[in-house]
Amino acid sequence: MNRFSVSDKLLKSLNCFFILLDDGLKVKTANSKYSHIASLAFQPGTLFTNYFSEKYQEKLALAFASAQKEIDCVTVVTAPIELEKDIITIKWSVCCIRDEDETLQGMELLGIQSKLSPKESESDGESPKSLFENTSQPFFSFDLSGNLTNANKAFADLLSYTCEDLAGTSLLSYAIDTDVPALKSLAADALAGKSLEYKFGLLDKKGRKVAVKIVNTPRIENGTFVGVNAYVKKPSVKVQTEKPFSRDERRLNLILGRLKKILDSSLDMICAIDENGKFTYVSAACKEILGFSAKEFIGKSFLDYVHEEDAESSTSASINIKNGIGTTNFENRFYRKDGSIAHLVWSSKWEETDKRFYSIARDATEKKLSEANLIASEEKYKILFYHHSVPIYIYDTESLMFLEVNDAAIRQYGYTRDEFLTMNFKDILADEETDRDSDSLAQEDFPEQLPKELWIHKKKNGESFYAEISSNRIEYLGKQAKLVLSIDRTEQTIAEQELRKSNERITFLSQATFDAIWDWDLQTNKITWNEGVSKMFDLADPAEATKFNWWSSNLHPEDKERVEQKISYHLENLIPRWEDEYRMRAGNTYKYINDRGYIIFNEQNKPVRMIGAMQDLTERKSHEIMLQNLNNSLEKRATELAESNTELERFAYVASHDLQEPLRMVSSFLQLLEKRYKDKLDNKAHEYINYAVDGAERMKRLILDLLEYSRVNSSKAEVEEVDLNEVLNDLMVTYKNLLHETNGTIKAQTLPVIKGNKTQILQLFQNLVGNACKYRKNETPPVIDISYEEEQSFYKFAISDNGIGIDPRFFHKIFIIFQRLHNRDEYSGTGIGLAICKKIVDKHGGKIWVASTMGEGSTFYFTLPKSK
Amino acid sequence: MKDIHILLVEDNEGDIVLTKEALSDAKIKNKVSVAKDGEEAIRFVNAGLDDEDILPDLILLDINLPKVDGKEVLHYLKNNPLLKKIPVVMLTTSSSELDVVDSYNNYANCFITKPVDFNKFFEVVRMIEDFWITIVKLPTKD
Repeated sequence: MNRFSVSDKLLKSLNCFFILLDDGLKVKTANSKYSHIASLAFQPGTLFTNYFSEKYQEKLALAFASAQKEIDCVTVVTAPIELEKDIITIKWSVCCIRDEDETLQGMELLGIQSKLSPKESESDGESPKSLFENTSQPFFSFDLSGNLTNANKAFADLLSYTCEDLAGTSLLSYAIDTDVPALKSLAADALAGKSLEYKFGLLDKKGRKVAVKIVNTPRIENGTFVGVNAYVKKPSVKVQTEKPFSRDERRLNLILGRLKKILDSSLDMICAIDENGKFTYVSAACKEILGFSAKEFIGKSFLDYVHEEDAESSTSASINIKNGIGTTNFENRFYRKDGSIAHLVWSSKWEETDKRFYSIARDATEKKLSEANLIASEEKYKILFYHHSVPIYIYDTESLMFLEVNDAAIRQYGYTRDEFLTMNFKDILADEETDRDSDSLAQEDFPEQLPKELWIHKKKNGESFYAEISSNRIEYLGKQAKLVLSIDRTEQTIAEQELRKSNERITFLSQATFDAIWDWDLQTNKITWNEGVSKMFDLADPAEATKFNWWSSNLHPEDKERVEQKISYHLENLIPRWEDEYRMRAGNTYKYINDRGYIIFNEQNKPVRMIGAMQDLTERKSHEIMLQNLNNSLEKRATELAESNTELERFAYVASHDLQEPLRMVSSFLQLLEKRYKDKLDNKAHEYINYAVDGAERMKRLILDLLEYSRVNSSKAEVEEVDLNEVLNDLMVTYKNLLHETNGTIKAQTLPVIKGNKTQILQLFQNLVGNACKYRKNETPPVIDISYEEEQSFYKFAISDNGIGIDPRFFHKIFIIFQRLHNRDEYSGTGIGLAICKKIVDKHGGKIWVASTMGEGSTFYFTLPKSK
Repeated sequence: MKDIHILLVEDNEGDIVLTKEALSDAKIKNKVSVAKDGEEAIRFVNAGLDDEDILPDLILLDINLPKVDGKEVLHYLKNNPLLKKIPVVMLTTSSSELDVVDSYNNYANCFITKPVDFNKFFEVVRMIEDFWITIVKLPTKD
């Protein structure tokens, strides 16, 4: 079949059976796998099934039948082949070949050895079989074609297969599409002596993705590089959420029997180049990658397409390859048919027997482009980073050193970029923050986006500010780092703190006060209260007060209209301060309330809220009313008393005045009678007349004293400066005769000038000195001493005598009007004199009292204020 | 010598009797006319303007009088050109300072408080008599 002729060499290098059968299941072509073992030559024209035992002939017949039922379907069957010394188990993939009319042309068979022969295992002395089989370390090896030549149980378990399942299959058939190129390069790397770690994904039996990390080493047998040994370093299983590809589908693409299909369907350009650099074979991908058809390449030198600048390097690379230095990832540029440039990445190998380069070229144009894009987008991020208006910096989470800062951070913190790059994150923390849990700065296991935090940061000039920090974990220059946005929230934070404090104050105040504090939302008509309202109005449920209606409906009917009008007036005329007094229902009574409020307006000057406090005035009001009543009655009584006093005084005055007239008549006519009828009256008549005249005389005295007593109050006494020494002189004149008669003396020190009514002060001294003279002891000349002491606000006077004295029992009685202590026969008197004295002293704002010892004398004390 | 004519303006019967008794002891013969209130006193002196035999030589005037009181009578007398030359002795039981000042301001010739004591009263009347009738040279009626 000429369609395979081109790839004969490739087929020969395959480490598996590749057999084509005609429609009669006879061998048409077979590759030379195991051809060195004579008995294993599949001879053309022979019936394929004849090479197998009876039991497997049936099995194969079933597989063929099954393969014919479906188009483009692969059926797998295991059928061993008996060799001279042992039996090798081959796993066969069967696929039908059809022409354009879908008529069956034949079968395509791919046979892979599923188990190493014991002989081969023994010859591989490098790893004892039991150890290899039993180790928990997944281990496998594959040949240069990528077919698994060995796999231990741990590896099979990893992929949920048995070792038999895996034997002879291609490693590529388990790979995730994207990892196929990486896997392909494994062998080349191993050959080049690179023992590297690779990470890639494999699919297990159930289609789950298994991420593996493998380490490969070249496998050398008899000095020849035959494959790769690899072990899985870190297997892990992840459940793949996507629907897995079916195994059959995957295998289809890899069936070597469809080699051309595979070659052509490869996105990479697979080609064979002769020693002159001319293309002898190019896969279909060339059309896609370079725009040329495969035919256009054949016979042309690769140098015809290579970019001039890459010609030299490409030529030297080909020389290297020819000299046995395998090359992967060699890059050069090819011209496309349309003249544009394609970036190609080459893997190439020189096959000396064929005198051919076998090469794979991958189109890296897009990758190159995306790399360029990536660089451009990095550039964009850089611009965004450096010129962002928010301060941003990156620091190493291990050393805390700054790795990068943007311009805004430089402005905000005041350090230059160079300064920043020598500092660590703790250098910008305010002193009070240095002890703050800095673990969070370097923690390993937190999510990438960290919650916002508020820190106090310090600027270079020592000023501190509140920084709102948003952090992201990133990898920067190969280090674990944090990208931090630092927004200055100082104003906002301080405002918030003040608001919180003021709110606290209000809360405490509203708890402390007895007042009911309210907050009336004018838009919802709801009122919020403090606890005060429940106490003030004895509410069982404070919630009932939240409606505005509660307040208005509990106003006293007499106050309701007035109060509501006033509030409306304030709201309409934008007068914020409101105050009113009203009565409000509390249970069965009304309380007097003083209510003050403040209206809050919005930006449109519309009232939106009103806040205020109610004060319970009920108790104060009732006190006020009581006090008012008391005052009224007191005033009334005072008026009554004043009236009664005035009346009494007028009565006393008039009575004593008018009493004089008839008394004068009585006395006068009795005396006229005596005068005119002297001779006609006997002694007895004269005696009677005398008694009558004496009675009238005493009555006259009484009346005059009473008159004097009443005058102390009634006379509108003028207050003047009174020199008491003058008063004393007057006294001396008055008592001159009496003193002379009794041989008495008055001793006095120099007296002060006081303020008072002169007439009354004179009368006071006269009465007291008069008493001192009157109540003298018989046979003893009276000695009267007048003295005074000056106190801070008053003078204290003392008038003492050496008279008969007063029994202390009567001290309190002597100042009472008409109170007499002596028989009229002993000492005459009306009992008004001391009452007058007391009244005068009282009127001047002083006090009067007496001290006395019976038989030794008395001292009368009185005080007069210094000024009045 | 011609009898002295004295007008006593007094409402108190007792005082009238006492004054008359006291004057009866006088050295000079006198005639006492009595007016019992202010109105009567004014009528009496007005009548005297027509008949000078009736016009008194001396008037003893009590302050406390019914109807028109003594001060008004004094005011009337001292404002009449024909009557103001008649000496007026104010006699009263009041010793009120105001009464004394008022009386002198209205040209009273003399102000005397009636003594309560009988003997003193007699003495006062006799002194008035001595002073005004015996000692003082009064203007003749012509």
